[in-house]
Amino acid sequence: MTSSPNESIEQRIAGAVMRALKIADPGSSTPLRMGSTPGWDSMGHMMVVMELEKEFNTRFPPYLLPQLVDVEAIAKTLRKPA
Amino acid sequence: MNAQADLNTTVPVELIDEFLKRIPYVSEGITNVRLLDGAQRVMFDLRPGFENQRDLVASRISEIADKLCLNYRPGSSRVLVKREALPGSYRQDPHAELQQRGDIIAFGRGRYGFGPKLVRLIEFFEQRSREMAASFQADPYNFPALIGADVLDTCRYLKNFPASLNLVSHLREDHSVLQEFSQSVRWDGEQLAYDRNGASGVECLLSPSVCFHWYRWLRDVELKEPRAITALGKCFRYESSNLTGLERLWDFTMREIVFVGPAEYVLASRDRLVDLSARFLDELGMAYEISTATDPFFVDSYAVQAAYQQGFELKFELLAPLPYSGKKLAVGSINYHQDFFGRSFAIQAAGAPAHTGCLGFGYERLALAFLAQHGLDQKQWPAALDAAITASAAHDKA
Repeated sequence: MTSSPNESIEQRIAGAVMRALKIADPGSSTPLRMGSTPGWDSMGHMMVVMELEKEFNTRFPPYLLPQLVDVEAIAKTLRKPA
Repeated sequence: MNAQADLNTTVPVELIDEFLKRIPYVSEGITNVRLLDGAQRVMFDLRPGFENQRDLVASRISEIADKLCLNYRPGSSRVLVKREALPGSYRQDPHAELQQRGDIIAFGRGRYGFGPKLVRLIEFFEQRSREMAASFQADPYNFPALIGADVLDTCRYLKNFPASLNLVSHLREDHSVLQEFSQSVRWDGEQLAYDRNGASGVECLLSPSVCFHWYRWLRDVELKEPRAITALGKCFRYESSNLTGLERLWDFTMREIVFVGPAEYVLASRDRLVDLSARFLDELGMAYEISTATDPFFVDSYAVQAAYQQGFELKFELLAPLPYSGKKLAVGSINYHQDFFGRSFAIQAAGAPAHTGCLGFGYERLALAFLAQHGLDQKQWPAALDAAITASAAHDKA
């Protein structure tokens, strides 16, 4: 499954995270976040990172990985010029 | 028989060591591996009896290169502390001289015996390590050399490091099996020849690390306060043809200091460990560096796991240069596991899965690096060390 072109960057990120972790949309009152979202632990994090890389056709260098902990932070990182 | 594997991908320079270390595990028949043509071609020899595996081995080598490079993301390691100056002019490989003097004996691949000179040197390391542990109020513990397969499974060690496992088996409790074994067993010059159907299943392995025992000990425990412990143990890691001298032993002695508690406690302890380790290596008068590193995860998941470890700076290695080869040898490491073991073993601290971290010194490697830098003449060693070892020797003979 891929995102539609009308989706916001945040929606695309959320979609990628849910696909990576194989979870349903937890709803807006439960933000997706490393450490609190089921499965988003140290192992799940790299699944999330790889799905994000596929979705946005990019490659995150290792030093950025600790910053990609929730939708807001990921969006901020993706919006930064390379 | 000479053969070659053409790779689909160019192995990045920083991955070449990692790549070459994995090739011996491709086939029992492979030997004399060389990387050529800008890291795009591997030349190798096949032992007699393995000639018909040429194409299979070549394709497996290529597959390993593909897997290592897939998802690989470049990123340099960060140096935390560095002392470059070597202590003297000694540049020899000490192995031959140590053997000639009777200070070590090679029993077989990766298996060495140590005489009094090295034992006393290691006792000095041990004394300082215990002092370091005491500064964290770390209680002393003792663990078996055997570890349950269930524990290593919970630690995901079986899946992440299959090549280094040492499975323990015994003969099945069956009189006819024992009788048959007793009558037919023999040493064939390379290995024990016996009917393997008589061997048991694997309940235990030889432990590859010390700290796993402690996490298992704390299973389902809710810690009232952070805990530091220390333990000395034999560790076992099979390294195939990478087993070379004292640089890479099949079994080695490791002193660990282990921390369990909330993240802040473990991270603060790790910072102190970096300082104390640097001070210890300074006292030994050695050149060294402490820098970020990654573990040799199994090839199928290496790139991803290594990236995570590197990105979150979970592993620091204590590297000592070996003047005789120009290579750096890891003589210890400081690891932060986040809440991985806390979650895996249901250890709670401050209302959340506990975080863990540890320091491990590999004593045989530390001894080799020390001797490679200082030489074998004890009078050239740091005065405090010379005095301590002289006193220890006098005490033993008193």
